[in-house]
Amino acid sequence: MRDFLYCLIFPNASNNHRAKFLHFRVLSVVIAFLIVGSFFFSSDFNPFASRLKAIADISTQELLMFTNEKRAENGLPVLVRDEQLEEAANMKADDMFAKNYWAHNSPDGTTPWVFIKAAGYEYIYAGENLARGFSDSKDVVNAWMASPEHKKNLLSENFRDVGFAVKTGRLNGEDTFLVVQEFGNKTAVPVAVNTDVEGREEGKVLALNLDQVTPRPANSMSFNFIIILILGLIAVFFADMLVIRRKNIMRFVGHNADHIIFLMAILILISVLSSGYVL
Amino acid sequence: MTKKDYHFGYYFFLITILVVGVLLIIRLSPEKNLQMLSLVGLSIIYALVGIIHHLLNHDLVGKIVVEYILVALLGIAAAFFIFRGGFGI
Repeated sequence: MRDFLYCLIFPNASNNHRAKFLHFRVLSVVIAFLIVGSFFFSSDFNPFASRLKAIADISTQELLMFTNEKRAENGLPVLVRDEQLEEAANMKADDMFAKNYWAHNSPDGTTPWVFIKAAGYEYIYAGENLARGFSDSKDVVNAWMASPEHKKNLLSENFRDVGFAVKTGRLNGEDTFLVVQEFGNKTAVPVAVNTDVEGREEGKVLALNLDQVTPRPANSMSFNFIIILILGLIAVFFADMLVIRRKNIMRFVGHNADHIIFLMAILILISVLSSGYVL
Repeated sequence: MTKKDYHFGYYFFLITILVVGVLLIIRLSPEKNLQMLSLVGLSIIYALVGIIHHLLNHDLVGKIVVEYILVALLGIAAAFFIFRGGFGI
């Protein structure tokens, strides 16, 4: 076993002075596994397609709890769950999946306020936060808090009510979790003292945000698996390079340093691809 | 130009291409389809740059071409695996 591992990682006479892990056959098997696995485990082919729902730890109850936790930390009164805003959030999420868009306004120009009014909530103040691709309620709220505009909504003294929707579906060809948070207040009086509402129009949007915050990597087993695989490969390329340089062996192979730099770039890009977003 | 300068120039060029590519792909966020396509493009460019470098260095053999292609494919396959949802967990 020790010999096998040594042969797998370090170049020596038994593996033709090239770490076995870097042999074409082994690399081809890894590539084939990843490509075949991509299709086999996807929801199109996987009989356990509902796994997305099962592995997510996002609930409207938790979202409300973490939202109110942040408000309490900032000395603000807690938001009250409102059924009409919840209905509006669900309508918004359904509309996004049906029309396949990721924005506050739909491609046909429907604003979030249309859904809030359609649910029967006659607001004076309203706001909306969106998130997708997260797998944990706390991560969603933390991502909103990390974005100034979303934070403004979350900690606004002008909102009294809140409604959430957490839905799974396909957006831009990708299975994803969508989180919609609708804020509202039916009264013109802000819920906290020392408020400054000057310059804000009644019955209009408050801090509707179109900026995107820095993506955060999703915490999943697949992501960890790929990270470990690539880091392992980088380590083997590095070990191979050092041993060959030390032994001064001549071989016709590519530059390991090139592959290490390229794989590091891929690591960064995979973190971006597996991230969640807020809007 | 010394061989050391030549290698320094090559690595500077390679790192610049990869950094610019990574930044461009990040800017395409959240258009994941476009990001994946750009990643494929960047991997192809990586393989081509590596192969051309060896060609200019007069040490290009078939094995090296296959190696660059396999490493580029590995990058694409790893990203594709994540893009498709991985194991689903």
